[in-house]
Parts: sequence; C-alpha cells; structure tokens
Amino acid sequence: MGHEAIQHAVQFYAEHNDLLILVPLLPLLGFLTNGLGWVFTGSSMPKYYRIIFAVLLLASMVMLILLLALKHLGVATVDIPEFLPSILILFLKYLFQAALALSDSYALIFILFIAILARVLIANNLPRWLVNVVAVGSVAGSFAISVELFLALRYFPEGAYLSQRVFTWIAVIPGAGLKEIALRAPLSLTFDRLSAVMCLVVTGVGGVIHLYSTGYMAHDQGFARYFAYLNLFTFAMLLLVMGGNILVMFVGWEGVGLCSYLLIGFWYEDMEKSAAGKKAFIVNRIGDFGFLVGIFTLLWATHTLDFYGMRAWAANHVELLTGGKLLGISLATFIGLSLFVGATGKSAQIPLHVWLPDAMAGPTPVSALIHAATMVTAGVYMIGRMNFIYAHSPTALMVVAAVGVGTALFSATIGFTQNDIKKVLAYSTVSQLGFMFAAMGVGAYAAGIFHLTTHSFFKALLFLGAGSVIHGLSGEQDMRKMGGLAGKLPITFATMAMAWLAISGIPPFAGFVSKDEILWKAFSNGIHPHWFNLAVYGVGLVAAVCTAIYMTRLMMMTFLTPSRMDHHAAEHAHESPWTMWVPLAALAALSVAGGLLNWPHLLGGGASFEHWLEPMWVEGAAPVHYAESVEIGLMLLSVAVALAAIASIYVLYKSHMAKTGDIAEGLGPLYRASLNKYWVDEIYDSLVIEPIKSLSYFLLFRIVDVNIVDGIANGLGTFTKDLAEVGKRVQTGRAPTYALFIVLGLLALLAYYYGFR
Amino acid sequence: MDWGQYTYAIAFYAAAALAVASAAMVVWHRNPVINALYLVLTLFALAVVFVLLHAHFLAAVQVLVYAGAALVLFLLIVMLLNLDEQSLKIVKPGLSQAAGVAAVFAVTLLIAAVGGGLKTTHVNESDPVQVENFVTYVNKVRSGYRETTGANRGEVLAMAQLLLEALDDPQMKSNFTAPGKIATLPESRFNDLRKTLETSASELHGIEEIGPPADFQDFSREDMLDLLAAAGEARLKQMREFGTTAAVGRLLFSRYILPFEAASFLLLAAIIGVLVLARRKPGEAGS
Amino acid sequence: MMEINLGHFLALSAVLFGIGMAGVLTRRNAIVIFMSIEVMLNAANLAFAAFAFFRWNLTGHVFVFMVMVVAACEVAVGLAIILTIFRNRATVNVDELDLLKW
Repeated sequence: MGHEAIQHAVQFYAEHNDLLILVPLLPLLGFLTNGLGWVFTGSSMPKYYRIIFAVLLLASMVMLILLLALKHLGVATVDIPEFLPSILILFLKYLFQAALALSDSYALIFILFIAILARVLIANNLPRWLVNVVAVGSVAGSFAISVELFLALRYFPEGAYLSQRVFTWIAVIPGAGLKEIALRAPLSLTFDRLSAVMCLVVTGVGGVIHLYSTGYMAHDQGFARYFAYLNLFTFAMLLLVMGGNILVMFVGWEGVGLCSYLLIGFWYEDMEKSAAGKKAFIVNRIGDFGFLVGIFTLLWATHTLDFYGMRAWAANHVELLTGGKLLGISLATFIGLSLFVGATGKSAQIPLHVWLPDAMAGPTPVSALIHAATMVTAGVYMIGRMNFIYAHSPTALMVVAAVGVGTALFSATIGFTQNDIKKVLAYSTVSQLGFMFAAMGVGAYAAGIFHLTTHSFFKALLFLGAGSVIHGLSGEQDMRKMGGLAGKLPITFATMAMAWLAISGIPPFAGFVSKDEILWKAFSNGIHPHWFNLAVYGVGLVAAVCTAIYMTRLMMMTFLTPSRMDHHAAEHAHESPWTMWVPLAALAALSVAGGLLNWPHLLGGGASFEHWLEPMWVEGAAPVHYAESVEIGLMLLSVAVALAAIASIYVLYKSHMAKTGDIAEGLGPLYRASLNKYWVDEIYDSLVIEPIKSLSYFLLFRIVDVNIVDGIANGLGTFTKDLAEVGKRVQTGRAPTYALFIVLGLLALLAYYYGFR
Repeated sequence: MDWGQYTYAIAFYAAAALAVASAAMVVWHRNPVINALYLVLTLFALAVVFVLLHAHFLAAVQVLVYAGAALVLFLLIVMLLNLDEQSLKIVKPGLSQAAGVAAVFAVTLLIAAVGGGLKTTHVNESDPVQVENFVTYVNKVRSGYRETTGANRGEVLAMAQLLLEALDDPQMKSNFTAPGKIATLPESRFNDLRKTLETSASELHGIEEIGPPADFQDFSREDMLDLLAAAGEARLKQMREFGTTAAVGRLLFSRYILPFEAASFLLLAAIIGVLVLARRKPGEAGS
Repeated sequence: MMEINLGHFLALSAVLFGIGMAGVLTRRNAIVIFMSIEVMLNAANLAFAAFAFFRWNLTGHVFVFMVMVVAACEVAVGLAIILTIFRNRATVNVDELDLLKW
C-alpha cells in the first residue's frame, strides 16, 4: 500500500475512533432488544404497557431521525420554545448536542434496533427467527467492525493504538483529605494490538457459538432469555478486553461473572443447576476481592487507573516498584499477587477452580463460550495487560507459573476418571488454563495469548461437538452409555478428531504450536532460576501427556468403541442441523490452520503473532540461549510422548476395553481420589462453608439480629409507650390541677426574675 | 410620738389581722355558708383598710357592691344547691394539695419580699407636711427672707424640682391655678418655662437665688417664687382631695371614660350570659 | 414598725392573695373556690389602692373600680355555670368534673 494511502487510513481511523464503542454496543443493543422483547411480550403483561412503551420507542426513533436530518441540513443550534419547563429545555438541549455529536452509523443502528423492538411490541409476538437474527447479527456486526479496526491497526506505527473516551464516568478531583489522588475513570476504550487479538477471538468464536446456539436451543422455551444473556455476556466481555482503564475492565469482569451466573443457572427450576450458578458467581467474587485490593494499591501508587498511564508511571518508578516494602514484599509483587488472586477466581486455577466443573450444568454452548473460549481467559488477558507490573516482580511470576503448571497437572489427573463428557472437557479447560498461566509466569506473554487463541478454537470445538453428541443422543451425557458414534455422527466425529489432535499437541495442528512454544519458553526463559525452569518444563510435559491420555480416552469411549447406548438413544442418534455443524467445521478449520499464525522460526515460519504483540510487553530478562538442537530435541520429545500416549490409550480401549475396570481397581485409592476430584469440594465445605454458616446463624442471627437489633427497635417502641404512660398523668381533667400548674408557672417566673436576673 | 401615727398603726394592724383571720376561715371552714359569712367579714375589714388608704369612695363601693350584692348572690346559690354537709367534708389532704399550699406560701413570700423592699424617697413630694413647709418657706422668701444657714437648702431645691416635675401630671394640672402673669402663657411656653426652671434649679445654692430664665426676661423673680408656691398649693389641694368621690368621678368621666363604657358593656354581656345559662329549660327538673 | 409604709400594705395584700390561692387549689367545692377567688381579687384591689395612695395617683382607684366590676360579672356568670353543672351532674365537687381527661 502506498505511503499516502497508509497516512490516509491512519488519519481516518484516528478521527473516527468512535467506531470503537460500536464493538461492545452492538451486542448490548442485541441484549436490550431481545431482553425487552422477551419481557414485554407474552400474556402476563397488560396490553397498555406494551403500547405505551412501543409509542415511546417510536417517538424516540422519530426524534432521532429528525435530529439526524437537522444535522445534515447544517442546523447547528435550535431554538427551544421558552415556555417549556426549564428541565425539559435542558434535556432537549443536551439531547440535541448529543445527536449532533452522534455519527450517522450510531444513529442508524439505534434506529434499526428501535424499529425491531417496536415491531415486536406492537405485534406482541417474539418470533424465533427474529431473536436469532438479532443475536447473531449483532455479534457478527461486532466482528465485522473488529476486523475492520484490526486491518486499520496494521497500518499504524508500532505501539500506537486507537482509543475513545465515551464519557466521563468517575471524576473525583483531589480535595482536602484525598491527599491529591485524583480518581479519574472515564469510560474509555482502547484498541491496541492485544485488544485487537482478544476482540477478534471474542466476537469471532462468540459469533460462531451464537450461530450454533440457534440450532441447539431451537426447542427450548427460554430461547429469548438465552440470547439476551448471551449478548449481554458478549458486551461485558468486550468491555473487559477493550477497557482503557482498569475500572472499565473491572466492570466487564463483574459483568461476565454475572452473565456466567445467569447462563449456568439458565434452567433455574432445577435446584442443582441454579446452585451451580450461584457457586460460580460466589467463587468468582472471592477472587474479585484480591482483584480489588490490587486496583486500590495501583491507584494509591500510580494515582491513575489508565493502562497506558500506569505503564508510563511504572517505567519511571522502577525503584519504587521493586523496593517499596508493603507487608514485607515489594510493591510490584503485592500488586501482582493480588491481581493474580482475581485471575485465579475468574480463570479457575487452584484453589478457586471448583466452580468450573459444576458450571457444566448450563447449556453446552454456554460452556463453550464462557468456559472455554472467553470468560476464563480474562485472567490470562489481565496478566498480559499488566505485564509492566509483573516484569518487575519475578516472585509474582514464579507464583503464577507454579500455580498454573500445578493446576495443569492436578486437573489433568482428574480428567482421567470422569465419566461425564462435559466434565472431562471442563477439567481439560482448567488444565489448559494452567498452561496459559504457566506461559505468563515465565514471561512468555505472547505464547500465553497464542495458546489462549488456539485453545478457544479447539476447546470451543470440543464443547460444541460434545453438545452435538448430546443433542444427537437426546440428552445423554454419560460416556459409559455412548460408543460407536463415528458412523452415526460423521461430521461431529471428524471435527472433534481434529480438535483432539490439536489439543494433544500433534503437529501441524494449532495446539502443537502453542503448547510447544510454552514448553520451550518455560525451559529457556531468563527470569527464573534453572531448577525452576526444569521443574515447570517437567510438570508441563507430564500434564501434556495426561492431556493426550484423557482426550484419547474421551474420543475412544464416545466414538470409536462398540456401542453401549441404550436402544432408544441408538435408534434416534442423528447428525445435527446445519446451524450446528457449520460452526463445527469453521472451528475445525481454525484448529488445523491456526498454527500458521505463529509458526515458529525454528521450523521456518515467521512467528507473526508473536511479533505482532511484541510492542505490548515491556523489556524482560533475556532468554537463555540454547543451541537449536536442544530446542528441536525438546520439541521431538514432546511430540513423541504425546504420540506414545495416544497410541497406548487407543490400543487399550480398542482391544482391551474390559481391562480398564481392572486398571481402575488396581489403582485403588488413586482412582477414587481422582474420581472424587480429590474431595476439594468436601474439604471446602467442612473447613469454610459450615463454619461460616454456623457463625451466621448462631452469632449474627440469633444474637445480633434478634437480640440486639430487634431489641433496640422494639425497645424504642416500648420505651416511648412507657414514657407516655407516665406522661399522660399530667392530664387529670380536673381544673384545680391545672390551676396548680398556673401557680407553679407563676412561681417559676417570679423566681427567675427576682432570683436569677 | 405622733399620736396620729400611733392610731394609724393600731388601726392598720387590727384591720389587717381581722382580714387575714377571716380570709383563713373562708378557706378553711367546711360549711360553705360559714365560708360566705366569713367572706363578708373579710370584705368589711378590707373596707377599713381602704379608708386608711384615703380611698373613701372605694371603701363605700366595696361594701355596697361586694358585700352587698356579690356575696348575697353567693349565699343564694349556696342555699339553692342545698348541699349535703357530708359531701363537703375535707378529706385528708393529698400530695397535690400539699404541693398547692406550699406553692402558695412561696408565692406569698416572694411578693411580700418584693413589696417590703420598696422604699420611699427622702424628699417626698407626696408628703403633705413637707409640701406645706415648702410652701411656707417659699412665701417667706418672697417676702424677703434670706436663709443664712444652709441646712435644708438642698432639700428645698429638691422639693422645688419635684413639684415642678409633678406639674406635668394632669391631676396636678387640674388643681393648679397659675399666678399672675404666668396665667397668660400658652401651654407650650409654660412647659418650656417649667422645664428650664427645673433644670436650672440644680445649679442654684438656694431658692432665693432663683430668677427668670433667659427666654422669659419679662417675668420677675417674684413671679417665679409665686409659681413655686402655686405648685405647692396645687399639690396640697390634690392631697386633700385624694380619694373623694368627686376626684374619682372627675377622673373616671374624663380620662377613663372608655374603660368605664367598656365596663358597662361587660356588665350587659354578663347579664345576658347569666340569663341564658341559668334559664330552666322546659321539662327539666330543678335543683 | 409604727410607720406604716407601702411595704406593710403590700405584705398584707400578698398574704391575702396567698390565702386565696390556697383556697383555690385546696378546696373541692366549686363555690368555695369562687369565694377564694374573691379573696384573691380583693388582695389585688388592696395592692392597687396602696400604690395609688403612696404615689398620690388616682388611677389606682379607677383600676380598682374596674376590677370590682369584672369581679361582679365573673361571680354572676361563674355561679350560673355552677348552677348548670349542678343541674346536669348533681355535684359541685370539682374532683368529679374530669371529663377533660383523655
């Protein structure tokens, strides 16, 4: 592209940075349309509510069109009649100014959604096709804009980014007692290289999953609610990844937590499912406490919440970050660890991983979107964003890596024994997230983000495929009752096979590239001592082997072993409709070809993904230099062990499937521990939950609430009544008593005037 | 010992004792008829005290109106209601009654203390003896007498000042006849003269030094002394006439005519009210 | 002690006033209460007359006159009220007239 054209593009997008808000705005509008449509239609709502609301909508649409017309006719100001009440004048002035500042694209989009909603309200029916179109269309539109912005970003110089300040959300000016800390948190969106990658993943994979959902939830009664929540989730996730300051990111953080609750507990009539939703939200919140501590410390230290502002501050205050003593550790370590606590909760690492397996109670596309591709990756993204803090704290990075790789191994071992297909995938997700954190912990941020991307491809594919299997078997999820589905569900099988190979790390699939990158960077990084590197590499390798093992087991039990289905399911097993297998195919293609994005130098590639993200990271310790042969050797080693694992499990299940029971018997306590997920839930229950419940009941309820609070409230009433009982005796009704009071008053007056004056 | 004063004191104490004793009996006795009769006695004692206060008219009115009319009404009602003596027994006084009596004593003490603290001035223009002495002295000075000792010169001047000040009082004015040429003065000029004399008297050493002030050079020294004597005479006349019906009547019908008419209006209203209240409704049993 | 001055008269007035007030507060027969009020009024009259004498100002006498007029009216109307109450309730014991009690 010619230099002039590049300049032109840069100028255009720098001027039109209000496109940024459209990316989260479209799913939000989709949420509003579907949500309000669902709320207002149906028989329980009185007719006039709908009509009034529809009229209001149409009036606002007309006003928008009028304002647009006025703007294009060049009218800059408008005389508002003076006889209107002043508050109305103010409102109209503000509205007009906002409309003037509005770009046409916004206005048209608003008008479109208003028109859809008005039609729904007036007709009092919410047709499925409309819901589907609105939901998928809004995410697709978001994706299109993300692609456009990404393409534009390529022409920007390194390190430059698009940002938009939508409105001033919080602006607290320093005054007395605030000690000069100004709290400025505008709702600002940033579109830099990292955000671009995340946006594409969220909207792309999200859009595909939306399409899948239209098929999966086709027979569910609550489809409108489902798509509303799904769009709300997309909106919150986009706020999270595009947030320009840490508070906006936190808003998105909490938003995805909320939507996770809403979607996991989607079938809320089932007590277990709604309990799973609560569990997810509450465990998430526990992590958020650490996140908040991190935010507060950041504000206190840097006096700003903006990411780029904090990054500049960190560059100038290295001594403070590494030297300042906060509870005995350096400032950077403290911040890094507190933020990591939040990441632990959100991304399901030990010890806050317990919600993710339970979250499988939600619909399968939800599991795919939220618990494979997007929400759980928020923690990884956050560490990537805050890398300028972590770069100054090897301790925090060590903790991150250790927890990550430990979780990877821990949950991989649980995945061996689970019989529910979705639970295996859930533990697999936890394990892969551990890999991502291990990557971030050894300073290989780009590798971590890349694994995030490829993982979203193949894990979403695995979940959607599992959903396809479950859908085909009319709800069966236990793998012991599956088998022989390779013929019955060919497309599902083919796509899932590609995902399986990808996750097991077989070249040239995407998973191989990303996982291998992580293992190599873990081995050869210059931040941690060598023994630590070796340990991380070793554990990581074992976890990778375990991954191969349980994924192969899953594929074997579901597809390639003789059928153990019950008769009814076997007869009705069918392939999914196009809305379900087209997404599978798309994701499969990405799983296969995704590795090309970051093909390593060693094998002749350009590693474009890594280079693209390079300006995002601050300078870290240089990696240890090993000979090329070491790198190739390690790569071959990991491929070899993965293939060996796959081969052995394949043979085991193909020929000696009966022996699996014996193996389980032979492993005895290990098997039981794995099957019961190491009793983590039970331990939490007895150590944490029961004491809190007793405290709450016996202390807070019985003593504080009933005795003290009610005592005070009732006591005030009783006291007033008793006071009145005494006081009412003044009124005897007899005149002589009142005469006495007159005399006493006279006495008081005389005493005052002649005694005390 | 001034026998007049002695008699006065005895009369006062006797009447006072009688009044207090009968008032106590009014309050204390059980039988309301006896109470009413003691009230009559109290009123008579008070009438005596009024006489001691030179309030002859009031004494007469008190006996006529209070003792003659109001008390008769009381007795009428008492008789009419024909109350059983049993129901009028005083029961043992309770806490509220004790409190009442205690409060009463306190109030009484306070008022008595206040009253007892009042003193009269040394030079008193309300003392008839002093005023008469003053008039005599002024006349003497007019005739050329000159005081050689300075004993009571200040007192005389003070008396002069007080009398001149008192000339402003309408009751004095009604008794005052201006001497000689001063009678020709209009009201405002007379007031100026009076005030100037009053203020200038404090600079003099004796009454013989008094002279016409600056504005009034067409008057002589004798005229001033005549003025003072006339003021004294007016005072004496006022004091002699004090409390007579004529004086009270004069005041009542000139200055206080509005309250007088209002009082008559009040009486009318009371009469009508009583008629309405005490009317026996048809078919109702009497007491 | 022999020289009777204003204070003596005022003390007498105060004592009479006090006695009257004691009667008002203590007695339960409404008519006797009225008589005590008369005593109080007379005490006030005495005070006025005393001030009038010692200030040589006849306004005091006029005031006493007005007080007497008012007292007469009050006696008449008050006794009429008592009569009415007696007709309705057959009692003049103020302890029993407590309808104003809540």
